[in-house]
Amino acid sequence: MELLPYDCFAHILSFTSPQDACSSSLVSSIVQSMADSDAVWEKFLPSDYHQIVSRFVSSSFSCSSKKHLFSMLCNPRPIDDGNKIFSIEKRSGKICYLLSARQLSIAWGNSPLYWSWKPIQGSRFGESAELRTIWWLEIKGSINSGMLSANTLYGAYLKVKTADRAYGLDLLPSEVSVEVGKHKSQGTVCIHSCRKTNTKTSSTFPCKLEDEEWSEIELGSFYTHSNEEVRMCLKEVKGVHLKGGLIVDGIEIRPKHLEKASAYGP
Amino acid sequence: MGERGEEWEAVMLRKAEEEESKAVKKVKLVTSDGVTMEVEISTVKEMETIQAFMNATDTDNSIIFPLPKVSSHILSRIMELMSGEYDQELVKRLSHEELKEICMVANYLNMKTLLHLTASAIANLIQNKSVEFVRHFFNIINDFTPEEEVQLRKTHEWAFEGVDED
Repeated sequence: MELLPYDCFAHILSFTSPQDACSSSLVSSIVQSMADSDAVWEKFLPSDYHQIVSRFVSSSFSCSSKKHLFSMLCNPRPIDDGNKIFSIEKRSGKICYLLSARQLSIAWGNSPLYWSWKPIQGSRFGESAELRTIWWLEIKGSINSGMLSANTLYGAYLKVKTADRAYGLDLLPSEVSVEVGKHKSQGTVCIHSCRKTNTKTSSTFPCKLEDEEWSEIELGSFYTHSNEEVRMCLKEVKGVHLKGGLIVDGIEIRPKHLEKASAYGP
Repeated sequence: MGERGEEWEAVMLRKAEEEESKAVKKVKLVTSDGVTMEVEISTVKEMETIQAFMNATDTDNSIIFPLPKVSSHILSRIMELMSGEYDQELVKRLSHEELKEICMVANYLNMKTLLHLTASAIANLIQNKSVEFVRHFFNIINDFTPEEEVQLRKTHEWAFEGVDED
């Protein structure tokens, strides 16, 4: 049969994914021009991208096409008051956020006796929170699910590292939970055993050399339906022993992909 | 009473005439293989290209509309999909060739629902597939030089992680 007409092909590609649109640009030069078209990439951008762009801390960037805008949004950049970092996921175009430690509510976080705030190497924020010593360890964060991509499974990850002097963190497992409306996911995690950031699974915030020191603790997962408050928490308050040396950078919220992204095809 | 009654009758008569002309009004579609298919005017409503033509010509007689790019086989498939209210199950039964043809016709006749349905069905078929698979699927000849292809592959390297085996 003859080649599908331009708008027809663009229509098909807009139903695929950014990844598919990119790889199909290798099919032929005509397909490439379709795969690069604004009609296709507009669909991959967050629907409210105009509003998002206006919220960037430094909003002075220009782009030549929708595809270009997409790739620019893939690069994490500060948004709102600078205590959040926005990006979209390359493979899906879904919205991701990194909430800074300052954006979180840390029990006794403002008391210099227990927590100290300082710049930490490898952080994207000016300050991270370092636990001096405390027995009541409780870190909470929240985000409105309306800020995220709709109908998407998300995971929430606490980004931490431990100082050399760390102690008491692994005596008891910490409780983690994520709550949205009536739905709650909870579990326990051992801070000592949390793994180093895996480069393959965390493609949203590309691992730079200094980033490799950060670990992620999964707090739980949730599904975005409507505008609801998502409450995330890590706490260890059962053991009354003192704990110290935990460095908190923030909470990352990004789509959670099941092992195989696509099960379609012949 | 008398005057009013006449008026009433006239209204009813006009209404009946209108309904009659509506019922009679049909559109003849002539396919590429010379088959004439008579379809209800309501069917044509979704074919915006034909609808626009009809609005422009404003004729009361039956309209004949040639479709030189549509075979009778594909047209009857489209009629099936329309009367089945675009059931996904019907779409699944289509061959790849039929699916592509119908997508093209939907695009040409500006049938929004059908275009949406077939385009997303095709998208599902080519998602996460290799470049060679997509070329083969659409019967497209590669016109890039090997150097150009290497260069393009480099620019979009991330897009080729975890592609399905053909």
